[in-house]
Amino acid sequence: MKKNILKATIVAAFALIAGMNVYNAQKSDVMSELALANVEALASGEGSISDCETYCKSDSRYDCIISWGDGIEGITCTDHRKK
Amino acid sequence: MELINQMKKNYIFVICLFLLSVSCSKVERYDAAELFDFDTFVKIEELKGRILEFDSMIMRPNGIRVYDSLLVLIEPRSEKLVHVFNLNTRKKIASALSFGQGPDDMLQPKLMTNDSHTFQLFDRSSSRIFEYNMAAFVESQNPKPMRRLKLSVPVFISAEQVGDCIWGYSHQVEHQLYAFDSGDGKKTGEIIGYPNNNISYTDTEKLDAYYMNFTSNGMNKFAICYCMTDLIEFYDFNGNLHKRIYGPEQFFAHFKEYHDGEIISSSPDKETTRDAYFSPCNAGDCLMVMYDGGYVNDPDHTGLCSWIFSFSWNGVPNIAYKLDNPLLFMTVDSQHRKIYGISNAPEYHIVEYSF
Repeated sequence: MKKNILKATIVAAFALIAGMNVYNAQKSDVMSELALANVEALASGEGSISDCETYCKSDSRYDCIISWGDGIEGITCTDHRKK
Repeated sequence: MELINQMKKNYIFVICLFLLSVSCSKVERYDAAELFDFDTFVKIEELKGRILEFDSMIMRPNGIRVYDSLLVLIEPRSEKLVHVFNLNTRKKIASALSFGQGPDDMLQPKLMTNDSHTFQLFDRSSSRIFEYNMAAFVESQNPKPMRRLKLSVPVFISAEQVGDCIWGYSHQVEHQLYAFDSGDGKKTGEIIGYPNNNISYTDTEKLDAYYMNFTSNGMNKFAICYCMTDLIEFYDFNGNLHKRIYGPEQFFAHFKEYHDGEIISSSPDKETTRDAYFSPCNAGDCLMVMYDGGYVNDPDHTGLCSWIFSFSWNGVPNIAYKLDNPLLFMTVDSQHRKIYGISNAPEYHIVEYSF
């Protein structure tokens, strides 16, 4: 009985370690575009990521600034230009 | 005889009409701009690039600088934002700075022009400047900045050390730049107005049409290179215009303002919009800048620049370099007379040119 419990514990431990390894391997070094845009939008205070796609288009040489109201508030969509 | 007189009168009438139409037509021009074209350059030289291969893959960098034998890349979509490569061994020697909002993290870093000992980054999302010791930066897994400087008002796109001040992109209608005290980050003034021309822009259109990058020679001159009109302006450190040069193809940026609820924006004219100058660099005794010239709506437009122009800091066209491997971004090592650039065709890679 004790032997069985020990075996089960060892198997469970190996499964746990293997699972963690698979999880770590799957974690990509590259952040998704969505995650990047989300944090950028949040950091800017206002606006949303969809605004970047609505009013700007992708171009890594530009930053696209979208303004509200009197132009004082806005967000910066990096690597985008006005479209 | 009468017939001849009538014909003369007709000729004079036609000539007058022509002169009237020419004088009344609206010719777009910049005030006080010196025109130049490709023939103005002292010479046109073809450069052959060498692709540099490293032990680690280049992802999608949007910033590049060289400090002696170290190549620094900004990788905005990676977990670590700054990657340092040794140009001699071609090995990656450091990856640092996390994407985030912690005290030492950044969201939108941009490389500033630096000397070889210090290394400055400007975080566009927080308008903060971080200064590092280059040696310590390479050695540590989690480098701590020697100095953090928060600019007192928001700055967009870029900031640079200019003499004893820091100048930052204002995105305001009256002046293009803010000046800050480099000691405490407090705003000390607003400088450099927009170029005068006879196109009537709304405020929003003007801000979009005059999108620019800037750099200084570190001593007494400062250059603004516009991205959608082929215009370059040279200023002194007091913000006085020294020279405005317009070329080599002389095109303007045309935008049309629109409102969408609270949003105020403008769209570039689809037919006429072209890309102009990018990545201005201090190359010691000259300014070097990439030139595109392509129409944005052209299906073949890649966003890669096939030309690098060099100008004296007095604004005189010097050499036009034609590249065999066009670039997105570049940096210049004036001491070793090398240009390092980022290309994305067909995949992202680093190119080295000797000049």
